[in-house]
Amino acid sequence: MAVDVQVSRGVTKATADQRPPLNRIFVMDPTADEVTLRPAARGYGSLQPSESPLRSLQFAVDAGQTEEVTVAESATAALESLLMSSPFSDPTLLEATDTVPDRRILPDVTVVKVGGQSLIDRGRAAVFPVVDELIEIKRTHRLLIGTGGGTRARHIYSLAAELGLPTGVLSEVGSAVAGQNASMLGYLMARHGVPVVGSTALSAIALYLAESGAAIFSGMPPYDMWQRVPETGVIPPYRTDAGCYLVAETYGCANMIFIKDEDGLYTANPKNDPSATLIPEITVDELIEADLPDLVVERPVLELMRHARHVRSIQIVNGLRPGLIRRAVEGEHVGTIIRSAS
Amino acid sequence: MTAAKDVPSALMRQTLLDRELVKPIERPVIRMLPWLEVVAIGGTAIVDRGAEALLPVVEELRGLLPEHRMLILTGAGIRARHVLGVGLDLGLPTGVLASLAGVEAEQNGHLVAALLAADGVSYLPHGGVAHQLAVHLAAARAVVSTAFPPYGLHEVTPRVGKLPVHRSDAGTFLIADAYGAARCVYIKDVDGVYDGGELLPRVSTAELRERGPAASPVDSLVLELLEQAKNVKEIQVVNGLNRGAVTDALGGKPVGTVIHAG
Repeated sequence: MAVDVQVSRGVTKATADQRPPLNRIFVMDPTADEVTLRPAARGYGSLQPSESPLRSLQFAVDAGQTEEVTVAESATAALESLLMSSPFSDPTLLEATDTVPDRRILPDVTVVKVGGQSLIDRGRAAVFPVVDELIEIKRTHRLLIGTGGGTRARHIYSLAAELGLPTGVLSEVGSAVAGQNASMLGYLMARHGVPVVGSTALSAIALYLAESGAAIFSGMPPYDMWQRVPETGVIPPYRTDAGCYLVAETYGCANMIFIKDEDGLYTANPKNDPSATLIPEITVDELIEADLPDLVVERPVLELMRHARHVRSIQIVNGLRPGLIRRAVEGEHVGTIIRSAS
Repeated sequence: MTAAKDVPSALMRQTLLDRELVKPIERPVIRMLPWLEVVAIGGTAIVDRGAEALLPVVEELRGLLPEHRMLILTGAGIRARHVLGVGLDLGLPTGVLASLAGVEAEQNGHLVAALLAADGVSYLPHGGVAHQLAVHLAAARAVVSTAFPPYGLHEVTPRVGKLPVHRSDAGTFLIADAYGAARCVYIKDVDGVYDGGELLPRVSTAELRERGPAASPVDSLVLELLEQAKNVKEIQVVNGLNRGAVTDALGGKPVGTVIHAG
């Protein structure tokens, strides 16, 4: 099928002595296989089949030469041109950003989150076995260890909310609690060479991981005064679960494991509802549909997972049961697995 | 197993996720800096146009210093689009793209702060804006910072594509609402929102959303944030290319379009 297309002149990285000057065309019809250029230009090209509705090709104008490009390259060219000319609200631009292949930054790393209230607040009885297990795991796997807040975060949220302070202030003061927990884990793991990295020093983690096999970070995202406000109340919606998850997603990590003090996700909070039953596996959509009154992970994590590119499943495991963390890191299903889609 | 060592509080032993249990601590949120006026200078709309567009805006802001205490924020522009293009081509994730683009808004802030330095105005990084804004504004009438929020590597996963969603427009609104600012003004290169050929003095977020994403002079995320906000319930969009528009907006005169939650 022949199709007329719009020709647009974009910014190109090619210089005249390397390649002939290029024009770009955008084709929105996924069934098109032949292109007629308008206005008249000396050039043609053929479209590669693609799943994406947005394809483009490059062609020479002056030299009379034609240049076929692969779909990925042409998508990049189309994207570059759209980026320079379209508002960020343009759906074509947003879609075009999807056509470029992703590159994972730390593909072989597992992010584990050590719960604040669920583990660290329990003290040595809960923390030492988890620390031992993580040290053992880091011999064979690379770990980024994030920390939760816990009971002190709840205290200061409660206090700050009573004072009428905004979410941004709660986000800052709550962040300090996850930081304390990170530094405590750091002291426990120091003899094994595991460093604590500040949220602004995450760029150094590649070195730490290579040298030591693990690094500890404070789980709270650095949103501070810019934290999104919740629908009701003032408690920051993006806390340490979301912060740890986003580290895993941004770095394109292999795995995200939440270490808690329950076997996984239950139909209600098992601590105060004896009728609660374990859900071994569930999708984000099913979970949102179920609209459970209480949840083992922060609700925004579900929304983040829905649109995730890399970390499309998370597992919640019981850190009070020895051996489960390693099995989860190795991909075994030992707690509740929540998936972005079925 | 040892029980957790608790600090007694209304939220003790909670997941913070049970909607009913979190309710008892709800209170009205105070306005921390009720006199603060947040003014955002568009990166593409104003700064990228160079001296011709930026200098008159800076001149107006200088004239406003004796009467107003301002947090002046700058957006990113064409350089952010360039670095996003390079970053996308390299396959880098949204969080990295957010960090890269945010740098451009910072640089624009340094330019504006340099122009206002003689008037006692300095650039403050995120930490200063979050923790020391009050003392800086006690010492100077205004400070300049980046409009981008500090989401960086922790930028959320976008619904479509890879571009970061918490950019200048969202960052401006989030900090204005967190401080309970008196006013939040966006300096753009359009007069406001038009209905056919007529400029609308006021429009609700719902009405604006019905007109589609292209109709809104601010990122559509801001409409969502306006509806959730605790204190700042409206923003004003003015055309910085029209002399006097910024002064009128801060003087409370009807100029441009006011977008309100509703």
